[in-house]
This record gives sequence, C-alpha cells and structure tokens, in this order.
Amino acid sequence: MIVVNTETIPGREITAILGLVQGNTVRSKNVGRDIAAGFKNMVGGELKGYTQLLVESRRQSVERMIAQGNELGADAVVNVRFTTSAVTSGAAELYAYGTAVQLAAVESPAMTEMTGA
Amino acid sequence: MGDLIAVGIQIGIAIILLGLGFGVGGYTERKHFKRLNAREIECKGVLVSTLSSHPYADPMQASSMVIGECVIATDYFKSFVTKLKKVIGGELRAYLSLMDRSRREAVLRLVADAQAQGYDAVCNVRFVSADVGGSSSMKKGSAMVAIIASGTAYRRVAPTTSAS
Repeated sequence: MIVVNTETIPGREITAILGLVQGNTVRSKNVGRDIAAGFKNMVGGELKGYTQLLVESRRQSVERMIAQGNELGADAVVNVRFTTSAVTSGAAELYAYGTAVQLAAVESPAMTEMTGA
Repeated sequence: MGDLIAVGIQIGIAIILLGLGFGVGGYTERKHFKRLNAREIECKGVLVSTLSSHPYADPMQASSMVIGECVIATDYFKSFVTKLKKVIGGELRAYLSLMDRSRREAVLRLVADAQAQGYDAVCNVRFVSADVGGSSSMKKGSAMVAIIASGTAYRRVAPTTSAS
C-alpha cells in the first residue's frame, strides 16, 4: 500500500478511484503524563510524553485508514489529510482521511511500502 | 498572622516559579533556536515544498508519506506575561516563538524521517495543530501547542547542488 498526501504518484497512473477512506482515534492522556507535563509547564520546552501520544494516535488512525483501503482492494491511498478536534477536555480526536485508488500495473522499481513510520 | 504567612508563602512560590520560567525557560528556548538553525542548515540538501505536484521527481523511484510531530509548552513566566498582555491586547510575542519553535521542529523531524528512508525531497507539506491537552490545559492558563506536519517524500532526478 502506497500512502501519499499528493494527488498523484510519480511514475504511476491512477486507473480507478474507489472512494474516501478514513481512520480516526480518540485518545486521552494519562495521569502520569499529565503530572510530568504539569512540571514541564513551569519551565517550558518539549512535552515528550505528549509528542509520543500524538505519534501513537497518528499511527493508529493511518493504520485504520489503510485497513479500509485494503478492504476496498486499493493499491494506494492518495491525498491524505489530517485533522484534529477536541472532543472533551483532556482527550483529542485525530482523523486521517484520503482517497483510495487503484494503480496501473507497472514494472515496479522497488516500491517501498508505507509502514506507518 | 497565619493568613499572612500563607499569603507570603504563596507569593514566594509564585516568584520562584516566575524566576524558574524566566531563567530555565529562556535558556532552553535560546538553545532550541540555536539547534533549529544548525539543523536547518544541515537539511538544506532536501528540497521541501508545498507544491502538490512532485517537482524534479524521478518517476522510477518510490514515494511515501513522511510525518513530523512536536508538542511544546510555554513556561510559567511567559504565561504570566501573556495574562498581563491580554488586558491590553495586541500581539502575544511570547506565544509567537512557541508556535515558531514547534512548527520548525515538526518540519525538521519530517525531513529527518525522509532522509532516514533515503529520500531527498519532500513536497505538499501541510500543518495541522492538534489539541492534545484539550481545554483543561487552557483553563490552567498554561498554553501548549502540538503540530503535525505531513508531506510526501520522493527522490529527485539529478541531485542539484544546493546553494550554501
């Protein structure tokens, strides 16, 4: 599965558009992270725990989106976008959406797979 | 008398926190900006654009999505100063540097992600700000900003020499 946030993929031709695929996750920070962040708020700087939380939720939502694409039999998801919304205090939703497409078969030069990294 | 001592202790703690925020917060911010500048110079070889096409793309090479995230908080001193500034309004410069820092850090992480996978160009860079803390952190008066930068990494045809 190729995942890109552009409309096209260089060297590949889109043959069919299968529709919108989406993945979301609502995550809450935990108490431990909250306390650590509280301390950090005094001196400023990066909140590593929250960055980690963001990485995890983003991976989760992209994974769910890819799973939907696989169900549709897609070769790639193009034009991927992210949005977030605050659901309640202390919890945030991360929503990833894109367009599932099928690609023309090509003498593939080492197409690396998106592993969510 | 007891009340007076309690008030005194509270004021003392506030002053210590302000000093800590001003000293440590200011120092880490300056250090972070220095590091950002140095890393941005290092990453000059990677072509970063917001174009949705792939400029100079090598059609025989794969492309994939790359992402960079960053969450940064303000210090106590800055949130205090901002609270005062909110009375008169205007530009909140203390928070401006906060946004700047987290955006640049997110972009650098995105570029690092691309470089780690062997790409030398990133296009269609987008930013989304997330509210990880929710509204509870706003109530406490401590601002924090979370940025997700996403882009598509690919390889260029001929590696053009970047202007140094």
